[in-house]
Amino acid sequence: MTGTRCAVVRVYNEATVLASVLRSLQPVVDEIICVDDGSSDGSAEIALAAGCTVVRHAINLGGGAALATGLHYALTRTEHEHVVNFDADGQHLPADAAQMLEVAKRTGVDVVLGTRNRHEATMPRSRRLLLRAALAYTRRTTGLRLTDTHNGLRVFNRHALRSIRLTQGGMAYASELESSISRAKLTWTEVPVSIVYNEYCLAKGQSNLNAVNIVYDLMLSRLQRAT
Amino acid sequence: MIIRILLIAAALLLAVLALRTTPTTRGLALRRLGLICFTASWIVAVISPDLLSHLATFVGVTRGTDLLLYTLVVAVALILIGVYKRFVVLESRLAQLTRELAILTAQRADVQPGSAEYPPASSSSPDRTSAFP
Repeated sequence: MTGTRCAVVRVYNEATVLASVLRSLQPVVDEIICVDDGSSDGSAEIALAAGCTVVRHAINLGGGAALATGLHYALTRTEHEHVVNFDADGQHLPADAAQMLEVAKRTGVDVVLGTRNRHEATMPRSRRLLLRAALAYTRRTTGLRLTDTHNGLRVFNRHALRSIRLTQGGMAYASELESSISRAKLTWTEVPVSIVYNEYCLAKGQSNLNAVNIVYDLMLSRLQRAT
Repeated sequence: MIIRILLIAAALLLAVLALRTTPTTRGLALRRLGLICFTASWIVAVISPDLLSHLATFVGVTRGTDLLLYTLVVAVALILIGVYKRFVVLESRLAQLTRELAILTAQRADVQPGSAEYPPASSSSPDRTSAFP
């Protein structure tokens, strides 16, 4: 199955939008791997009915752990050449995912990252400031000249899947992922993508205060590596 | 004052302990030694409270009870750190376990139960019923 691609979609209680998001993504990839992170609203059944592969966490572990499970499954149980990481809440456009997969195939880079800074107009102001700070921090610590960070839309090839180690259960995994890229010297590129900040995403998505948790987790893991 | 040095050293030690994640056998041995020392000093302090007061004056604390309080704070912090670290280890084990389970029980839409990739239990072990009557 060379050249095939799959999507890893993390799902945690997304029943209201999941079916339409999965349907829109299906033409783009050969297989959708839904990681159900302990949903209680029947999200897993919706994903199964939509024809997805469902990997179900018995208990809720958090976004980073769900992504790690999905990537691990894609690497060990499938032979897809590329994996795209796609959010279940409808904030990403399947067309962007398709374009990123094309770029990955054409250029042969290990990782393709979605970057949204050219579309800042639709982003709430507080989120924009927060992301700018996060970006400065990531650039400093990883040395990667990124133009965006903590964007959920990413494409990995199998080499990247083998090199990336995710230990953070919560949302700090995004920075951990970027450090993995720099540590394993993976080749990467960025592709501009649009983010839809619809009402559903904003109501359900990340609170800005969660940045405190992310920074705390990261600082702690850095200190632990130092001692 | 000696007590200041002791307290600051204790705080630094606690911070280092809190950040180190991997539990070692050395750590276990130290904890056990600590328990023995604690029990011994407890008994000594009960039998002769004057000794505690002398020790307090020696390290620069006026009363024996104050020294006891300081020691207690450090001891409680040590215990809390131990519990916290155990939780971190447990959480990571729980994540590994959940991941293994999730991957083992993954359901694929294109592979229905009963097809070649999901052989029914009876076909893979035909002697099952006779082996376990």
